[in-house]
Amino acid sequence: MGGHLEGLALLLALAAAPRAPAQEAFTDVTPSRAPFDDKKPDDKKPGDEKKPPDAKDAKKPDEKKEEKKKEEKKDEWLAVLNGDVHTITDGVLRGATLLSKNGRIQAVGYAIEVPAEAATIDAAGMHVYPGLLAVNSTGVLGGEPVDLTTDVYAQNMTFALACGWTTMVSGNSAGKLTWGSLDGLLLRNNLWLRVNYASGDERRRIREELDTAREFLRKRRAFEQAKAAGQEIPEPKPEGVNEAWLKLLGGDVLARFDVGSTEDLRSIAKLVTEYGFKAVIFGATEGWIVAEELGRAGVSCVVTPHTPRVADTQRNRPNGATIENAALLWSHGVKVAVIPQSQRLSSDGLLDRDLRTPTVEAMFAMRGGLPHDAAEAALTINAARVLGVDDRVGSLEPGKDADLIILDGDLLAYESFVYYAVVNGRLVYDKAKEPLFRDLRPRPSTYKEPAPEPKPEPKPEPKKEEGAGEKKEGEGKHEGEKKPGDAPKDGEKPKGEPKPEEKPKPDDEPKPEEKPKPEEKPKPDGGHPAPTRDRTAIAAESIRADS
Amino acid sequence: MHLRAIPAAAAFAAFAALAAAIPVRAAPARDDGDDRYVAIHCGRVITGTGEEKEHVTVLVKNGKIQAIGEKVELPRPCKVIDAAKFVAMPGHVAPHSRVSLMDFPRAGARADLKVADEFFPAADAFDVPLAAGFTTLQLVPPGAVGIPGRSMIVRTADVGAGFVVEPVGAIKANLLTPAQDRRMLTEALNGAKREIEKAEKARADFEAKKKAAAEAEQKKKEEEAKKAPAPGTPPGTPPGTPPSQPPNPPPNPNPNPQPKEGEPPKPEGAKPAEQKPPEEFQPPPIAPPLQPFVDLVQKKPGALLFVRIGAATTYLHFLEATKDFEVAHVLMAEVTPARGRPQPFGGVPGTDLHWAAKKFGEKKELVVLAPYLSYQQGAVDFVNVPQRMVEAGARVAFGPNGDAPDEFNFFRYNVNEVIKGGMTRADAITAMTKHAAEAIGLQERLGTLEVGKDANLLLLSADPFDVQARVEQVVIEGELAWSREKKGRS
Repeated sequence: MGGHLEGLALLLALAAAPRAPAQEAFTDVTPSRAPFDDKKPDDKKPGDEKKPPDAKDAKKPDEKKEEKKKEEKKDEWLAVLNGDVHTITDGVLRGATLLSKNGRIQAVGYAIEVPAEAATIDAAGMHVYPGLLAVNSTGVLGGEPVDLTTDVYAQNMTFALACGWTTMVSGNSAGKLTWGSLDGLLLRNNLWLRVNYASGDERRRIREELDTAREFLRKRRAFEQAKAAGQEIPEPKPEGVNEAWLKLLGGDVLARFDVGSTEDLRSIAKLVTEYGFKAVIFGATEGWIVAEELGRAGVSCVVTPHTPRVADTQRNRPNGATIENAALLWSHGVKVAVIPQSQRLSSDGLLDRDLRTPTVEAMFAMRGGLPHDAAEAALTINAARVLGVDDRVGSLEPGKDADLIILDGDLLAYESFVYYAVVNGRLVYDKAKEPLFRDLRPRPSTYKEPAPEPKPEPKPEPKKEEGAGEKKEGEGKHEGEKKPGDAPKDGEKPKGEPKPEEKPKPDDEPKPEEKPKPEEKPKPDGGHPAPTRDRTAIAAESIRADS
Repeated sequence: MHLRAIPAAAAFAAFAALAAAIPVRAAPARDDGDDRYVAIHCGRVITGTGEEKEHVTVLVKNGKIQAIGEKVELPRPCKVIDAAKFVAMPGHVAPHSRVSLMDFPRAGARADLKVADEFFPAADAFDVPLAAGFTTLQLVPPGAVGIPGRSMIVRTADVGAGFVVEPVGAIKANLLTPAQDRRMLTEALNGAKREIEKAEKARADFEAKKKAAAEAEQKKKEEEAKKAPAPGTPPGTPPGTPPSQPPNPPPNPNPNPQPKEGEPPKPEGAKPAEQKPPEEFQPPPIAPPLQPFVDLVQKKPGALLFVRIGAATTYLHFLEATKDFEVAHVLMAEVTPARGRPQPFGGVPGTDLHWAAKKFGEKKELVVLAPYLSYQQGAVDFVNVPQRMVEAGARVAFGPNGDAPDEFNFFRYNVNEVIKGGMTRADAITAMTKHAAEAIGLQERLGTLEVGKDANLLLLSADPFDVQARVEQVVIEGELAWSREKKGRS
């Protein structure tokens, strides 16, 4: 106990300390973190083939077909260059490169060889974070089954991506915001076993059932050991054993409790400690009172840090809510994830604490004392732990899914914007191309699509080739605007729209801008003007011209 | 009067293919007797093939275009329609309509049901589309869920051969709510695959059995021959034996070497399929709702899947559902018009289609769209979905969005809006004519004004995209079906 308290004190001190030094400590340039640095990037990792980014383990009858498909499928590369990569689990790498192959992070670090066919995002001066996880949501993913009901072209999905989310939960399933694609949308089904551990009767029943299940597991273990030892004892039969509890005790599923009061939390801590399963507590408003017990029980908590509930002074013990809840829970070793008060995406009002403002919740937790990095973790890796998907998402590590967001500033700063969101190694949100926020602090999109085809480098005429190559590149860009290339969202940009940021680049760009092709378009009756340019872009331009 | 073969070209082709199997082919019975000629002198013709010609005469023989050109010799007798002041274009085709039909509720996958069984039109049932210039409608089965049945194709006026052009057309499948519809479509396709495999297996079993029996018999014969060499040979082909190769000669002892040489691929392909099964092999019966899907999976001529998709996502579900199959299909997607205020955060159907345009383009999909501009979600920008689709490489067909009279009456007006919004005139005309006919699977008969096609013409007082253009006359299969002068049916 004493040791524990000491640890606590230390942690608290750490929490109270100004976070700059801690941050500094993380900024140490690590020489190279990429495990595959020495190899060429197209060296095949055996794991890569076996685990396509697709989360659905759809069993196909024809394996041959599948093989064929794989052969046909080219590797898809995406490199995020020069960004400050916040790995969450492993510090910050300033100006590092993140390379994704077929939806998985291949390498994070420095001196990484980027294959020529990779799509790239130049994130110089920007911050790369893992995509945020919303442990509950409505209105973005469909109902269950998530992969059949989600509208992957919906405005809400774009909006959620613009807010930084890349993974969300609907009902009991977690899905990714794979804008424009159904591949790898479903992350995990059957996330939690919801347990109602409220009333006395329920508690008794649950304990009895858990006892039965545990007894059965013991017997089965004994049986297996005996079998291994060559002895013969009758195989135990799971009679009267609830399958769900077996899964829970076996660690296949997380228990989820939705409680907030001290009494409930304490009893759950006891239950979890006694039976030793993984548990998530949603709410945990009064968790700060029993933080120690919760920490010892090893549960995770999903909290809304700013949940005003005035203490009842009539009660002779601590109660009510505090903004320090998240910090206190964290300081006792509880894995804390945060979720906004309202788990929908609304569009009314400002800062009304729903899924549009994920980081604000984490900032509330920081106001209560949660350190900066713990607040980042609360939106990423800890949320992934709450969903039991921390092996796939939640941090930027090689082997994990390439789900990331790129901001122009700190994640936990209200003025930061998400400029790009990448899910499964695919760019799914590009602020410069979305009508949502493209006119607010615009930046040129640095996303470059992969070269259309690796030309077999015809070398005979080097001069001509160069010129041709350049031209082609320019054309490709132009095309990419008109027709969507690999970029999922090019399509929505009106044709010929003069992107302010692309002004300086190619010479042929300003021409369509100055003359929005009056001669090309036959206007038979002088009807409404052809919508070659959208008003917002014009407005943005005029603003820039003024300033 | 003039005899007009009722089956459509496709059906006729199929029939011809079947008939080819029989050595003596009956000549089509329509060329004899009184041919009916109609000549239409047009001021200008928009053929739908990309051409626009001035002062053209369209000569129609028995409802089909016989010749088209500036100088066409007219036979005698020949009825002449003077449209020298008018602009002619192919009659409009509405690929998705339910005019004249009542809604019979349906559930599940019912590809065995046919619209034709519910079709009891009044004489003036199609007058609204007819007056608006529509000559052909595809009547689709009701409902927005599952697979409600098979559509039919009708002409909008009875000019002597009834309304029906094609009694059994495309299978309609809805994919508006993928949670149920995708499963249904996948199950239907997989069911068809299973049926085909079942039939193949049955055939293989049957043939193996037959082979074994034949071999046994052969052995027997040989043994017999060894025993008694003299008399065995002449009756050597007992009735039960002729299995694989020998049976072909006996049924057609002298099938005239010329026809066989003249068109070797077709008859030979058709022969075994035609002759063998009825003799011996009986394929296992196929469940009626699956039969159309079996045809579809086997790529039988005329088999077509008409899929109504909703939001762009549903197209991805369609791709998933059909990824193991190659099915002839047409998509129809809803495009919501940009009328009234833009809705920044409304779930407006159809406005998201342009985001998936690239995917449509990759597969060169044929998409039936309403000719509308839309608002882009989250912005006040217009988005020209048809144009985006065409630019991405998809083939767009225009059709009215529903059966409200205004949808027919303002069809060309709406197309004009899309042209004003950036689509080229040529693309728009193709979408109205050629692709619209393709969307109902009748590209062989309709869609363009070319020799050999049905003479479905629309005579307008001015250019189709002129707001003042009015429909002056509608010609269906060479017959004047409607004219403004006579205020209606002629």
